[in-house]
Amino acid sequence: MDCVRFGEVIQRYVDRELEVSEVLEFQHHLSFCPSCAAELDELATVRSALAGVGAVAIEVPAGFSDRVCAAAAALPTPSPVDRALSALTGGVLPGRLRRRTRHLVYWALVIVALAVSWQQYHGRKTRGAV
Amino acid sequence: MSPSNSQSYRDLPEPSLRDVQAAAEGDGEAFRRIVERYQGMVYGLAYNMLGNHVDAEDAAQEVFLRLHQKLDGFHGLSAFSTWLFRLAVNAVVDYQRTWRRQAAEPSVPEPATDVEDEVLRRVGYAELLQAMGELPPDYRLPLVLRDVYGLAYREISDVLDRPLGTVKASVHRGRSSLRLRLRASGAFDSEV
Repeated sequence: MDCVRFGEVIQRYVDRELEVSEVLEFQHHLSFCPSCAAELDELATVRSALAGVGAVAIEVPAGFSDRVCAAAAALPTPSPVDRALSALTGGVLPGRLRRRTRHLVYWALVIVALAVSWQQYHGRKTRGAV
Repeated sequence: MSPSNSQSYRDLPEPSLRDVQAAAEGDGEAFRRIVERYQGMVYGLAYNMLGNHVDAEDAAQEVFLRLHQKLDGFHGLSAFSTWLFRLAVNAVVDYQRTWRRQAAEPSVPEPATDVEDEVLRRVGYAELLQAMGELPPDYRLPLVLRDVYGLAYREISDVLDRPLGTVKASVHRGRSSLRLRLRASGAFDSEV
């Protein structure tokens, strides 16, 4: 059997993303293909070792928290738009969405302000005519 | 976004809501307590995503500065550590897009405590980090988010703003590349 077509399948097997029929076909292939079996074993080992990396504590550089707190104290106060955006979105939008949403909020505020001004002006004009 | 396998921060105690509110209102001491509690998690995340200490420190600082600006966005709907993790991933990705140092040498840190994971000990923590540091960022970032922090492919696609198929292909190539590098360094020899 052609091992090349199992290259992607091995990865999806490691990710547990195969359909049942694909699992059965691949496991059948593994039963007589030591090369794919070895590749699967090594990839599973890599994945398992990577899962262990996140649990290893890394030494934080000395004085890090002092530098962070000093930099935070020097920050300007966030603008009302940024505060409103942060309160609305929970503050965790990716940068691209955050920039787009900030623009949307900004233009929405401009449009609302223009609409209110126009309504007040129009209202005064109507009352003046009466 | 639901990190599944980084016990080091999931086990951290939550800050008191009073501290979060006080820090949001400008209390420097309350903010310091939050930084000191989570700096290990944030620095580790930045290091694992970027692969060198210079970028990791800059990016981790950027995370906390962004946190300082966004604290009033925390409504307690999820655990603080989960919320901060998500904010940190976004901040590090933004940092990597804007400032990544193309020629930065990978640097392998000393773990602060003994490596307990059996598979990781067998493969070799330093060897694995060295191999990860040599991966191109286009492979490294999705691979770390997927296999180190357990994010779903869809979440990685959203946070990196890359098509789902591209993200999967990057993770697969990154894994294969790590496998070949580790094999070349003899990391699998003891398995047989």
